[in-house]
Amino acid sequence: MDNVKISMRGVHKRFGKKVVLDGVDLDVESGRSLVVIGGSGTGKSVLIKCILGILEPDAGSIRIDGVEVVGSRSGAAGAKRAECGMLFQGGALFDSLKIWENVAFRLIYAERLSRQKAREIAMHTLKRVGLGEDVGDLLPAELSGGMQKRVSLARAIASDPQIIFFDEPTTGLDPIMADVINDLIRSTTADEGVTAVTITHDMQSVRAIADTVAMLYAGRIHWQGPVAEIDASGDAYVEQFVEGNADGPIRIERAAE
Amino acid sequence: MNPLRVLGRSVVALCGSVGGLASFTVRALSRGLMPPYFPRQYLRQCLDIGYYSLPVVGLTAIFTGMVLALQSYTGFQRFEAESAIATIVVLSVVRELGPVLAGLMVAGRVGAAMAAELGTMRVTEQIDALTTLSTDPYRYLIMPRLVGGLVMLPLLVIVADIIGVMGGYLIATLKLGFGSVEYLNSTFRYLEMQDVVSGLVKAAVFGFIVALMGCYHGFTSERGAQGVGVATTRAVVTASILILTANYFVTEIFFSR
Repeated sequence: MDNVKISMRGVHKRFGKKVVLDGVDLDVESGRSLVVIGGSGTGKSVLIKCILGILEPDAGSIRIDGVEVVGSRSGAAGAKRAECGMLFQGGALFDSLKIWENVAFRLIYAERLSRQKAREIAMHTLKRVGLGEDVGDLLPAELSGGMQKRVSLARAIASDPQIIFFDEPTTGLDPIMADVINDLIRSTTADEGVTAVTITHDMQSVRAIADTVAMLYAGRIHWQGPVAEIDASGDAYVEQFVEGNADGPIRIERAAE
Repeated sequence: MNPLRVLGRSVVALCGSVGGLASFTVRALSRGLMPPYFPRQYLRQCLDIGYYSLPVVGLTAIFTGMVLALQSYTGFQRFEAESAIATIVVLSVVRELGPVLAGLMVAGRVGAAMAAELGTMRVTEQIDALTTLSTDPYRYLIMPRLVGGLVMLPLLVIVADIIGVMGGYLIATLKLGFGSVEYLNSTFRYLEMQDVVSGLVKAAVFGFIVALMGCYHGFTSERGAQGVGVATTRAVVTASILILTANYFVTEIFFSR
């Protein structure tokens, strides 16, 4: 594929004796939205943390736009990672900073914009995610969970990244707020042509924001295909996950462990 | 359980801790000394460590000076050596008690706060978020704290020395009947530059130890509230022990014949 944005080959990661990623091969096309599904503890977060450089894989290759980022401290690898934005599951907002400073963080400290210019961009970005200017001078603790998620989304998109990662974007939100966040993610990625990688358990989110779905199981990509095919994948593991059945191969193997 | 196995595990764990701390220190210094720098963070840490520790260090110093004067008087009276009280107070405070007590008080106040803040940031993924915002956590979080400890504790100790000597002076002149001029002359008669310098070098070493322990234990905190609690306790305990240990070695360097 010519338009592959992220390419992972044979990525391994273990913590002590626990093997989390056991040879992940995965391609993410440019401008498309990939959602990675899988049970709790299957290594979804580890997968995107390896791409972002928060964790270092034990083996394997990760390329962004063809640039190897594993084990590389080169300027090119750093520049590629600087093109990424991330929305964390819990928001991960800096609680000692005001909301606008959170949103403008990268603009001030990495891109070295003036605080005034960065504040203008932050306020505009807050508006894009449906938050008013009055929120800008509050602290994260003064906001609800849904508003914090929006601020975190604003922080992820404020510097116009090429790739955005979403870690469980709707977890802990009520269904209406979850739908609002899904819409924001969809509109943000579709309007800007950004490549998106999302990990989630929430099938409603999967259907709302995915172009392609990949299922991570036993440390590898077990199934990958267009979102339209997920209900007719013909794969017992995927079907069990999608339908949320207690009975199926996933449970049997867990019991066998 | 086999005692040898227990001993072996303890030794391996100790080696692991020492290696981890050494690796953390090298990484913090090698990365933190390189640009970009974050002046606001440096200023904030200097205020937190220095300015906001003034009340607790000042109170400790004044009462220590007062007690020293009283104790010296009752002890030295037996040998009719009351005239040495001013010298005893100033040398004890400047060489030993000023830096050690200030170090221990700052370890309790600042070291614990650093470990708790960084541990909470680790648990809530704020440190990971820094990486995704193209900001090196070692430069943004660790180096300003290390520099703050290294620079501000000597300044605190200068203040503590003055207040401690003043405490002795107050007791000597108001309670023990010493003349004001006579006491002050005795205070400075035998005080040498080396006494002051050794106290300030000790303070710098202790400040670095307090900040390093707070940062290391907070930065490597385990997940969950319990992990943060353990990190905080370890930061204070290890900093206190290392201060007392380093105190001997610095004294040995300055005053051994």
